[in-house]
Amino acid sequence: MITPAHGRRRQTRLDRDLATAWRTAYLCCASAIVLVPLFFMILASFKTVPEFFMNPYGVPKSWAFTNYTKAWTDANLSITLPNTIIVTTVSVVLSTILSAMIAYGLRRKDRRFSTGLYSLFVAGLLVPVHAIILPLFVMLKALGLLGSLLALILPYSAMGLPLGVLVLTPMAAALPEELVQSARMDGASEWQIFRRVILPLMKPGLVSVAILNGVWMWNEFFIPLIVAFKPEAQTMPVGIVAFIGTYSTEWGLVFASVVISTLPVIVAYLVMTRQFQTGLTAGAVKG
Amino acid sequence: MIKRDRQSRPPSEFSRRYGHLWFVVPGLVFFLGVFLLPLALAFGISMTNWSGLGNNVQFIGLANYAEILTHGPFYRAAFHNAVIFVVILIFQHTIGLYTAVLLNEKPRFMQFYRTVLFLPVIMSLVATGFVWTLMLSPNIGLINPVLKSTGLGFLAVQWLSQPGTALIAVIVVTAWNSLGWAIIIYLASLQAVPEELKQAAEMDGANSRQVFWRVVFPQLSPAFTALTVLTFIGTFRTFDVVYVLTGPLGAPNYATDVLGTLIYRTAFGTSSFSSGDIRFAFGIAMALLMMLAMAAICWMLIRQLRRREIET
Amino acid sequence: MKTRLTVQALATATACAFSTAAIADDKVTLSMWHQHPEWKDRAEAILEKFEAAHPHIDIELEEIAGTNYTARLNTALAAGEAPDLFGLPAGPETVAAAEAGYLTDLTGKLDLSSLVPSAASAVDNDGKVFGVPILGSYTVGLYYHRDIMEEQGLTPPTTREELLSVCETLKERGINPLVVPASDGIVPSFMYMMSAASIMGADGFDELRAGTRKFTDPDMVKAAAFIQEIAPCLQPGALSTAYVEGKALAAMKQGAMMPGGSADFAGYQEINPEVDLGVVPFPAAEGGTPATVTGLEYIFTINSQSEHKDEALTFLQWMLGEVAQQMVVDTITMTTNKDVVPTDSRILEEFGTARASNDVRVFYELPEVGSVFGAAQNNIAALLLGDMTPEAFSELLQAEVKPSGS
Repeated sequence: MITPAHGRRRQTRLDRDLATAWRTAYLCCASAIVLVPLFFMILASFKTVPEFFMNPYGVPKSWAFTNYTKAWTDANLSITLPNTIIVTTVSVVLSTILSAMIAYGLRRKDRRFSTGLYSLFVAGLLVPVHAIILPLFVMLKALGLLGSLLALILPYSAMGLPLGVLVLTPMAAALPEELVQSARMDGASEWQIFRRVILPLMKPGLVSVAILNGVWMWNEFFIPLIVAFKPEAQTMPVGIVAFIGTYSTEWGLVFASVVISTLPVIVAYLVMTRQFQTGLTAGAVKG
Repeated sequence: MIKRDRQSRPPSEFSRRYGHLWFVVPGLVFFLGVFLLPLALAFGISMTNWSGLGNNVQFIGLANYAEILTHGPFYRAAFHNAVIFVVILIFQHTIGLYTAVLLNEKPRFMQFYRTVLFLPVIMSLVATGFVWTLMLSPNIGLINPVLKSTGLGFLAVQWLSQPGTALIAVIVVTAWNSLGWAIIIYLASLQAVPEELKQAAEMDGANSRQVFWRVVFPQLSPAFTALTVLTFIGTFRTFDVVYVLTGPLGAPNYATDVLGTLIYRTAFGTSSFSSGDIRFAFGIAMALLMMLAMAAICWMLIRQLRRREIET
Repeated sequence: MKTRLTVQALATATACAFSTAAIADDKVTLSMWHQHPEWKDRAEAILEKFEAAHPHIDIELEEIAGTNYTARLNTALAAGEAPDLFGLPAGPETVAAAEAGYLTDLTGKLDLSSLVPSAASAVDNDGKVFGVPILGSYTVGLYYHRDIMEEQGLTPPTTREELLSVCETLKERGINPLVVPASDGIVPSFMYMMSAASIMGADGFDELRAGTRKFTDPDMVKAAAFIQEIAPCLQPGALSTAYVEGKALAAMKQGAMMPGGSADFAGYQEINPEVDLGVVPFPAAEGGTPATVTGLEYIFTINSQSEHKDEALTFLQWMLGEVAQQMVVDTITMTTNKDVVPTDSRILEEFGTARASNDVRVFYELPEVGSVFGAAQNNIAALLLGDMTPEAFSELLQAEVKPSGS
C-alpha cells in the first residue's frame, strides 16, 4: 500500500492541498458526466410524451409507473426474461469453462500449435456477425435446433471464446508451472489438476470473463432476431426492440424498457465489481 | 486431430507432444463450427452476385472484391471509422491515463469513482445510444436548452443534424461508453509498478514528474498495446451507436456512415421501401474484406507495439 | 458447485426446448409476419374476429420493425424457415420471390372481384397473382393542423409560391412550418415523388416508365429544385430526426404541416387524442398540379412450403372481405375493397378528395422504376443540404430507370 503523501516529501502543504482539491473536482466531474445522463434517462422513463416538451428536465409531475407495467406485459418479459436468463447463464458458464480449458492447454508457448491456436481463437474477435449469420442459421437448422434455446446457446458459447482465451491464457501462463508438476507427482490426472489446482487460481479472471461475455450475451439483438423467431424462444432484446417499434413514439415507454433491460446487468456488476476489476486487469494487461 | 488411446501413465511420446491439446479440442470444435465453417460458406456467397432474395445466383469470382476497391462509400465509411479510432485512442491515452493516475493516488471514495467510471462499459451500446438521444436529440435533447439557459447559447448547435458536428457527437458518445476501459486497464498496470523502482528513482533525486515519465510510464507499455488493439477492434466494429443515434444511413448525408452501417445497409436494406436495392453478396464481401484488413492491421500493430515494449 | 449449476441449467434449457413441441391438437396454427409493429393492437383485433369465425385456425402474428424485417425475412426464406404468411412489397420483390419458388401461386385460387381496379392491376404480374393487399393501401399527402393554420389566418398551400410564403410567415411568427423526419430519407423521398408527380402526372409517369420522358427533362428537374427550396422550412434538426420522432413532433403540434400517409393518422391520434388535422395534396412544383402518391401496403403471400395452404387461402379470402376491410379502413388505413366505405372518417374522405387532383403510383412497386426510390432515399439528404444540385440528383435517379421498351 502506498500512502498518498509518501512520494511527495518535497511538496509543500499548500501544493498538496491544491492537488487534492483539483483531484476531487476532476473525479467528481468525471463521475457526473457518467451519472447525469443515466439520471435523466431514469427520470425520462417515468414521463408521458407531453412532459418531454413541457417539462424536459424537471421531476415528472405525475410519475407514470404505468410505463413500467406496460413495458413488462407488452414486451413479453414474462417469457423473454427467463429465456434470457437461461441462455446467458448457460452460455456464460459453458464459454468460461471452455476458454479456461483452452487457456490451460495453450498456456505454454513452447508446446505444439500453442501460439497458432491462441491467435486463431483471439482472431475470432474480428469476425463480423453479419457475414456469418446466414450460414450459421442454415447449420442450426440442419442440427434441428431452431426454435429451441440451444440455437442461441451454441453460438453464444462459441462467440464467448475469443475474449475468454484473450483474458485467461496470459493468466494461466503466469501460474507457476511447479504447481502442475507437484500435483502430477501426487498422481492427479490432467483433468483433476485443471479442476482442483488451476481453476481456483484463475477465479478472478473467470469472473471478469463471465461478466464481459455475459454483458453482450444479455444484450445481443441481431443473432436472436434472425435465429430465435419462435416467440417462446425469444430473448429480451428482441422483445424490447419489437416493443420499441410498437410504441416508438412514446419515449417514456421506450426509456422504461431500456431501464428494465439494463438494470440486471448493472446490479450484477455492482455485486461483483471488486472481483471483476482485479480479474479483468490481471489478464488484459499481460495480454 | 487424430484420436488415440486415452493417455496412460507414464505419458507416451504422443501425449507428451499433443496431450495439452485435449483441453483445446472441445472449444475448438465449437469455434470451428460457429466461426470457421460459416466463414467459409460466407466466402463462397461473397463470390456470387446473389441479392439475398430469389434464385438468380451466378459465380462471379472475386468481382465483388474488385468492385469494393473502387467503391467510394466503402472508403468514406472506413475513413469515419479511422477518425473515430484516432480520436478515441487519443482520449484513452490522455484522459484515460490521467484519470487512472489520479485514482492511483488512492483518493477518498476511490472505490466509488472506479465503479462509476467503468459503469458505461457494461451498458449495451443500444442503451447508450438511447441515453444520448435523450441528451442530443434535436427535439427532446436536454443539452441545448441547458446551454441556452446558462448563457452559452452560442454553443447550442444541432449536434446530430449538421454534417460537421454529427461525427463529433458519435465520437463523444463512443468515448463515454469506452473510456472506462482505459481507466481500469491503466489503473491496474499503475498498481503493478513495483514500489522499489519509484523509491530508487526518488533517492536519485528525481521529482514526482520525472519519476512518472522515466520510471512509471515505460512500465505501462503492455497496457498501451492492449488498449490500442482493443480500441482498434472496437472502433472499427462500431455499429449500434450510429444505428441508434443517426440511423442506418449514417445521417446527415452519410456524415456518420461507418463500415458497420454500410455493410448492414448493403446486405439487409434500410427500410421496407427499398428492399429492392439489397446486394447481400456484395455486403458479405465488404464484411469479409474488412475482417481481413483488420486482421492484417492488428497483426502489424501488435508487432510494432511489442517491439517498442522490448526496447523500453 | 459450478458443475452442478451447469448441469441444472442445461437440463432446464433442454426441457424448455422440448416442451413446446408436444401440443397435439386439431387446431391449425398459421404463422404470419408483417412490418408494422405500431399496428399491433389493431391488427390483432382483426385476427381475433377471424379466429372467432374460424375456430380451427389460429393466426400467430409477429410484428418486426421495418428496418429489421428484410434482414429477417430474407434469411428465413433462404434457409426455408419463413412463416406460412408474410408480407412483401408488390412489384419486383414479389416477382423475385416467386421466381425463386418461395411463393404459392394464387392465380385463380382467390376471388379478387372485390378489389378496386388499380389494386387488382398492381398485384397482377403478367396474369399471375402471388399476393393480395389485405391491409389496404395508402396515399401520401400533406397534413396540416387546422387549428394552427386558422389561428394564423392561413390556408393550406397548393403551389410552390404559396408554400414558400406560408413558410416565411410561420417562421416569422416562431412556428415550425414543416415537420419532416429525414434521417432515413424516406419522407423526403415521398415529398420528391409528390413533387415529381405534380409535374408529370399519371400519364407522364407511364411515359417515364416507357423511356420517353426523363427525370432529367428541364421541367422535371424543377421537381428536385422545389424540394431543395423548401429545405429551410423544415424543423431544426430534421436531418437527424427519425421517422417515429417526427411523428410524435407532428402530433404534439411542434410544427404546422407535415407530409404523411393515410396510415399515419391513427398514430397521430394515439399520441395526441386532441389533434385536429386536415389533408391536402402536396403543393405543386413550378408548372405542376398538386399531387398525391398512392401505393399498396405490403401484399401478403403464402409460403410455398406451408403445410396449411388451404387454411392460409381461407384466411386471405376472409381478409379481402367486407368484415375485415371495414375494420382496416376504420382503424388502420385505406381499403382496396371497392364495396367498403369508411364509417366515419373525415380524414380518409379528404385523402379521397386530395387524390382526385392528381395521383401517381409509388415508384418502388414498378419494375422499370423499382430502384429509383432507393436512389432518391440515398441522395436526398445531399439535395436538402445543398451539397447536390437538382440536376445531379435527377441524373442519379434517371440512371436507375430501366425503360420497359429496352
